[in-house]
Amino acid sequence: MADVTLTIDGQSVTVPQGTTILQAAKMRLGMELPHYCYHPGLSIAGNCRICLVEVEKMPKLVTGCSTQCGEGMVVHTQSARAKEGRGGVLEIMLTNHPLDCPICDQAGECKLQDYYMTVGMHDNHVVFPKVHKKKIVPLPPHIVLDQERCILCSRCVRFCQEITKTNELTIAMRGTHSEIEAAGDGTIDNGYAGNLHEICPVGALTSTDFRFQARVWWLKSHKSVCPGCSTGCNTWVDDRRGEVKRLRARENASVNQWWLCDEGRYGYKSINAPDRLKTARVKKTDATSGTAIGEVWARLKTIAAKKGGFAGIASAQASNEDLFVFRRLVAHMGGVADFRIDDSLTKTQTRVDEILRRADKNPNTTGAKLLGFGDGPGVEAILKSAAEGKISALYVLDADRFDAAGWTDKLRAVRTKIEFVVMHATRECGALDLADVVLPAATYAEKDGTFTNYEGRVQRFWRAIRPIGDARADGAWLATICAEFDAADAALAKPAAAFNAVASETPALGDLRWEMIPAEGALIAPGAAPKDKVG
Amino acid sequence: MDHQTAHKLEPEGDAPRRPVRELTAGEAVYLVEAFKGLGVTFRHFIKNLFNRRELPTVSYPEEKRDYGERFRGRHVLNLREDGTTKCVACMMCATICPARCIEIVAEESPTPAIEKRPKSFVIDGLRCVMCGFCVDACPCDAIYMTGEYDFAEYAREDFLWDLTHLTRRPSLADAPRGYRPRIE
Ligand code: SF4
Ligand code: SF4
Ligand code: SF4
Ligand code: SF4
Ligand code: FES
Repeated sequence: MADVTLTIDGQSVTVPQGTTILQAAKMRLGMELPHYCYHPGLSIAGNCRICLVEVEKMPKLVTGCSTQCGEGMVVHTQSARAKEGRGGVLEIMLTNHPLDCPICDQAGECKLQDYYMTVGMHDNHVVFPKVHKKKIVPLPPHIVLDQERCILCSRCVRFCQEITKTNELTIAMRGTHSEIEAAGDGTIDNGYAGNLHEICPVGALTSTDFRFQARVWWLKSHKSVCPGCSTGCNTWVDDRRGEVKRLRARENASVNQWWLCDEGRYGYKSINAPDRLKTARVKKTDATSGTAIGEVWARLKTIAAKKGGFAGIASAQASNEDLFVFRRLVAHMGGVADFRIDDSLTKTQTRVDEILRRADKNPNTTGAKLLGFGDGPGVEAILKSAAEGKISALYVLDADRFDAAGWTDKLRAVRTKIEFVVMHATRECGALDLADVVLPAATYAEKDGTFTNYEGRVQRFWRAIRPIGDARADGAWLATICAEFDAADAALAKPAAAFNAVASETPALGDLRWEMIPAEGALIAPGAAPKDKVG
Repeated sequence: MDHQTAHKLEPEGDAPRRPVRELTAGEAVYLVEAFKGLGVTFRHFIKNLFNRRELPTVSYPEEKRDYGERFRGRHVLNLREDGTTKCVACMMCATICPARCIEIVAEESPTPAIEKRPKSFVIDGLRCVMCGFCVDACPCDAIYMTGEYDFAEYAREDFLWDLTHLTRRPSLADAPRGYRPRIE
């Protein structure tokens, strides 16, 4: 498409035809025009009018979000007229907006507060009473609506029309009495409702989950990746004093754009779960990390020395780094390993819907496959050879999933035939009774690492909080054990070292290195992913 | 000023010193001066015994001193007419508090018009520096400081002033006014 050249605040910029003034200012000048109704992921409504700018030769101020750039346009965003216009719009918005800030969850990240400081700062001219509307309208299961706080930007309405296509919301009544209303039974259970409270620029839509949990200025945000399915949506993990309070979508045009699904968004609760495992266990009694590790390597060394027969079962919840160190251990023990404790492998390419969700509920199936875990005999076969007395030591890297996938009873049946069983777990589960040693594992929010999503995109996630109790990353435990066989393996406790070691051994990763993984993730082996099917 | 610094401030080396007077013979005999001193003490004792109203000290705790209205004493959480606390758990006070001694947990209020209220509200009296910032920060006229200044307790836990203490401690009935925001 042809390009147009225009002048914004005295600077000449060239943008593709069809670009709006707001987008051009942001793209080329990094300048953020005030906006409420505009959202890059939704259609342009142009109804809030806070983005007013002055364009020479146009008689009136125009909205920056909906006016396309034209050849030779001269735009002033900071002229006295433009500023006065935006200030006036804000004043009108605040005529009926209640000053709920002490109660409102959005205080601290509210665009009304922000723009009042930058474009408002006016004295209140309003003499007549505010229009009152309904304050607490539940839109179960995730949302609470406050009609009074709503500025009718229609983002939420458009989200339900354009993204989920479920049309639960609409604007009813007219003029100052306009309000957001839910159609049908008043629920918004479309699997993506959490995005609504995230895109609402004011505190009109709040999250039942986060409501009144913390003031937002107390939260610290950390970049992360959702482990809820093989899409690997980019997230912000927000914590207060080491407790994760909420997840938010982190924009990544190549993966999740601006959205998260509800399952992923509210899935953080397992991190704070009351049944998190805090200490290591030897023979069902709590032990120090040192004792537990000592027990593991003493037993593994004798088993490795005499007859062998080692089997490892990982899961695709583990990061590439953790899996790599696990592979080292398997190699030292001369054993076999697999990761298919559920049917993740067959489901990687199956979508649950047209937006984000996938049937494979693991973040790293592709990574585990690339690391060679898919070439193993399979969990079924491992348990079968255990029944035949061919397995001396079993190492389960993710007891939580192992239990959830229903393997516990099958293992119990053959347990007496296995000399030594080690399990890593983040939470209590039935399988732990079958282990000689249990090591508490850190969740994804408590460690660094990478996941490789369904399309082969390697994405970094960052440690957000301290691991609970004695919990440590799987890779850190494993590296300590491996170091007993080969001192050099101790270095692999650091995810960066482990990743770079994987990368140098795995041709598919090319010359990708830890420090170079880009913000949008690195796509490896492009084209490897077969066509999606919607299941 | 601790002992060490006080010592350092004494003139050192060549710095000029106050000339020291030689003791007279009477002063050199210790007992004479000691009895003179006792005489001074006795004179004051007799004077105070018969002029008790001019005494600069008070007999605490029977007698209490009156401070100005702006005295920043122990906190109180203001109540609405219906007896619920005016606090909406906005955490402004906890945010501004330089001693970080205010811990609030918020919850949904059963009254929709109020929406939010504190589930727990604890001020750690041992950490509070009585600066009054919390009173200034409160947008809801909910937290005041009274004129209460007697803080003696038998256990450390008794210095954790919780919701009940802040709203309904017995002494509040006749607690003197203290620091509260000026409403204009
Ligand atoms: S509820 Fe929020 S997102 Fe929806 S129209 Fe109102 S202000 Fe906009
Ligand atoms: S689609 Fe998958 S990765 Fe994305 S938020 Fe949902 S569960 Fe998490
Ligand atoms: S008086 Fe000062 S130190 Fe004490 S609670 Fe209030 S803000 Fe904190
Ligand atoms: S500032 Fe006032 S309303 Fe807010 S939490 Fe403190 S006492 Fe409650
Ligand atoms: S952002 Fe332009 S009109 Fe709303």
